[in-house]
Amino acid sequence: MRINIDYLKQFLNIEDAKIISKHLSRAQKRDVWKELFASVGLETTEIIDFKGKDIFEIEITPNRPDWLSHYGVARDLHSKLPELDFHTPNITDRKFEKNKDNFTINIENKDDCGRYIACIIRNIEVKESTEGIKELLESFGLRPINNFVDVSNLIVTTIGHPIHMFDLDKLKGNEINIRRAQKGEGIGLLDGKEIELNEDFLVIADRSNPVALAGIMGGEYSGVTQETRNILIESAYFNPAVIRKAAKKIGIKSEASFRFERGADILIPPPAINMALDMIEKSESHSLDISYYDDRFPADFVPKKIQLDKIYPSAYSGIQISENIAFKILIDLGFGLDDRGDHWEVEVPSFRVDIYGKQDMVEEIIRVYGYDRLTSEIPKTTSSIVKMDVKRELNQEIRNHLTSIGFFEVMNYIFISPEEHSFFSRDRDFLEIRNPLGKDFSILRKSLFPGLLKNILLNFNHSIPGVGLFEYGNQFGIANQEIQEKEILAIGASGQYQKENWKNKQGQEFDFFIFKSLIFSLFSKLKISLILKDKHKQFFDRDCSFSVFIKGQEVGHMGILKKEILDWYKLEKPVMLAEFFVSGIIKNIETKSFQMWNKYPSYDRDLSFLMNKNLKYSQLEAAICELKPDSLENHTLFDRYQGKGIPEDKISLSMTFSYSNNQKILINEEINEMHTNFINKLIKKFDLIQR
Amino acid sequence: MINELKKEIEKAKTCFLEDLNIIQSSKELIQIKDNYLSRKKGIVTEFMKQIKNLSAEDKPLAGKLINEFKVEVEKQLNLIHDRLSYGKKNEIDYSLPAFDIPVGSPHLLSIVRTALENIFLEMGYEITHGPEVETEYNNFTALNMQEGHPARNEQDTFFIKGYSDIILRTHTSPVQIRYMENHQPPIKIISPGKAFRKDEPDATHTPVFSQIEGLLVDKGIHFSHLKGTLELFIKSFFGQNVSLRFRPGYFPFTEPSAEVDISCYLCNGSNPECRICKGTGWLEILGSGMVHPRVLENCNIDPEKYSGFAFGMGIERIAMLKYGISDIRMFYDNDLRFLKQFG
Repeated sequence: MRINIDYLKQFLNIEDAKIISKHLSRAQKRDVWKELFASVGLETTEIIDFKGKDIFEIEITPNRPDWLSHYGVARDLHSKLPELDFHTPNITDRKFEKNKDNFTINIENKDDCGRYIACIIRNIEVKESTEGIKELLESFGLRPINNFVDVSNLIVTTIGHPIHMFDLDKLKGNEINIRRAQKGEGIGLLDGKEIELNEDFLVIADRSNPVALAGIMGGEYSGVTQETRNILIESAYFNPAVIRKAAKKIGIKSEASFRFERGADILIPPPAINMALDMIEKSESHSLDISYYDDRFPADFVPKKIQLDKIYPSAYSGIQISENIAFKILIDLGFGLDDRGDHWEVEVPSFRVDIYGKQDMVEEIIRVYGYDRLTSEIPKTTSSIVKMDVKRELNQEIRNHLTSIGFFEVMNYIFISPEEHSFFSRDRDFLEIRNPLGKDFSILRKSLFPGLLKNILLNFNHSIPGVGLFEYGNQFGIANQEIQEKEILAIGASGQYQKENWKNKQGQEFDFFIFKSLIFSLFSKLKISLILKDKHKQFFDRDCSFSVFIKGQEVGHMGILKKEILDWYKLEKPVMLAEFFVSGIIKNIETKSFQMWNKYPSYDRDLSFLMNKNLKYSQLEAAICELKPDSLENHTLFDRYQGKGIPEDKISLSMTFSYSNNQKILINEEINEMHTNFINKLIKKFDLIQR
Repeated sequence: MINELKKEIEKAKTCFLEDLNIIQSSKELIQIKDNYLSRKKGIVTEFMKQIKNLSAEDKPLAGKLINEFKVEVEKQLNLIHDRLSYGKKNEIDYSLPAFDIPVGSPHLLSIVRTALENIFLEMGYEITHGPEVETEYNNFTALNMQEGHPARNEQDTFFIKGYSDIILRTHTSPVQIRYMENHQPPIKIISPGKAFRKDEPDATHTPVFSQIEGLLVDKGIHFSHLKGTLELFIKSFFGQNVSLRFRPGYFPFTEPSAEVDISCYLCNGSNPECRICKGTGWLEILGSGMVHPRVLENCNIDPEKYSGFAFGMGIERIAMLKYGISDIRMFYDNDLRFLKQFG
């Protein structure tokens, strides 16, 4: 909405305000106006110089349609500048002879159209407006058309009400019908668009056809042209919801619809039409031949009343505002106040469609009194219980650990492309966005890996030799017909892990064992033991694909990314990936309690043996856990060798077994017996060959 | 034979321990080292020579025992060498550079979010969460944006296919609705999280962004409580010298509403070319207001008995202001050159 400061002065001469000193430069004045506008809630987005005049582009919040005019803005500014005189527009109050033309207005439903005024003027001359009017319109960013259309535009910008003009001779029959359109009807609009209509549209129709879309735009056929001699002016009130729905449906945002859908002033149609007549009379320079005027007002309009306790403005704002000040402010803003002792009965003016209750009254009062006069107080509210956010604590701990071992936290969009989705999930139970930014952003991720892979690639492309990343975020899906959202911790790594240096000339690339060790270090920090089990996942390398279990419960997976997917992302080095359900981790965080450590010494026994190559270490380890004597405290693999001196189908392993008992000192014979028994079982189970 | 060798090794071990005690200088150290480890006539070498006389089956064990002894001798002598040379001048250039140990960083949004949360936790607020996929009711209707409300920005909203009323939340306010529906006042919560709007990415927009919102509902809460709370928060985060400005604003879910600006923490309005405030002296930082009575009613809280305030801010915006970042997309590029600068 554009405000021409010069034009505003006819209502409120803000140049005379106390806040303006005569010595201010133009730029300084602009700052003062901008501050003034902001103080009532009008945000200036741009200040335009139009032929030496200041034009303010102002953003109007959707709750205040009454601000969509110079008059409306002046009214609010006046409340801030009470020392100035506020001038209401000078409008002739005409008496009309009714219905010389035997014309009728038919309103089908008063809920759609609460008020409709039609006025017919005959023998008019359509021509160019005066230079003054043309320049004024241009300063508002509007294109002058002719003296009639220009009047409509001037009325809107001056007092905010959209009126419409028809070429009377294009209307069939002596009637105007405000009705819902019927299926099959259509209209060609002033902007050239052809619209197919149905019952959702409210139209203005002559005897046979729609001639305008009510409150949105007129029809091209019935519009005012150079040839127009007789004219019908409309000034009406339409239901905001009806206009909004229709305008949205056809995607038109006109000066008229913008105002009607926010809520017009139901009492303004008569002054609006009178103002139009004043302007037309001026441009025609002779008295007007008005042959018809009727004001149909079927709506049951009752001004809204609000009971406002006199102490409420102070109580709700937290600052002392005297009754007199509150009273004066509301009166200046156009409210009616009736003193009822301890409270006022406030009558809300018809142009304030945003007012709901007493809280709005407080906003009006402090807005004018000054938001800058609010004090600062700390509420004494205390919570009944201090609730710890367990998930936050855990996430923090994980974040601390992962960052301290070299991982960077990333954040990605939650939507991915269908192709990426297909790599990581074959299920049909995913969520899709109906109106995505593009197909590549249409699926709500079921895995966080696509994001990590893109991030890894981006960093490789920037010549970063290695990346370890992690992300917290939700995955989305459907389970049992319900939408499911689960928080995931995803970790990925590729490329160089440790740079070479003067002492260690090799450096170290991320491989699965480094990755696995880093992840195990995280869980060891959380005092949680993980078990990995081979499980084929479509996105991991066949030989390196694991499910992760905590206490028998599957909480995630890890592995090496499959070659085909690696290629698709144009990645070259192997990528190690892991995902965990955060809820699965939280569930297994245990409250710690002190335990006395084992005071007795532990004794090591080494064992070197040959094992069949086709056996996996995990199988051996599972057997160790199953067969071990109670006093076996620990076992470590310290050497693994295959090659020269070892049969081709074998592999040599060396392990240390540590024995200890927290009840007593173990004696040598006891340990030897235990150890021998135990390793014999192992040897037997796997056909091991002791070395 | 092997048993004899075993005994000899045991004996040598005992002798070695005694010898260790007499070493007082590097001269003695070299002498003892020679006695045991000299290739030609050292004790270990003497043992090795005996192996060839042993039977084939005893050979591996003998080798193992001798080797264990040798390792032990080397280890002990090295310890003594270190002890003797400790503090003495040596040949090592200690100015050689340190090794690069890999270190990562939390995401800047996590850092800022945590810092903001910490301030409110100190003030006794509880952190609450809600789903990112929400109902239109919780996201709009309950927040006093009925269907058709001009502020109900449907063209900016992502809708979920196959559902008529399920969307990606456009702010974290629905978390407050969920909380109020299940709790009576006093309520004192913050709800941090992601929000989504259908914006093409540019320097100031990303379709995914983060918010933190706060809500306090109790008896007798008024507008100055909101200002006091926000002032405390802003000063804690940006510094004591930063001041606060309330401007009238409009949000469907608050009445009265206020836009909050802070004075530019960098130039305080003194630099017309300031890169942070662009010379205006003020930075728009958050939106706030008193909870609209309709919103309370929608959650079965009696607005005649209780009142409350709410506020919300974009975490990216706060981070951009605090760290002088000019393009919001950087938060979601995940470029290490960006990530490694913080945390």
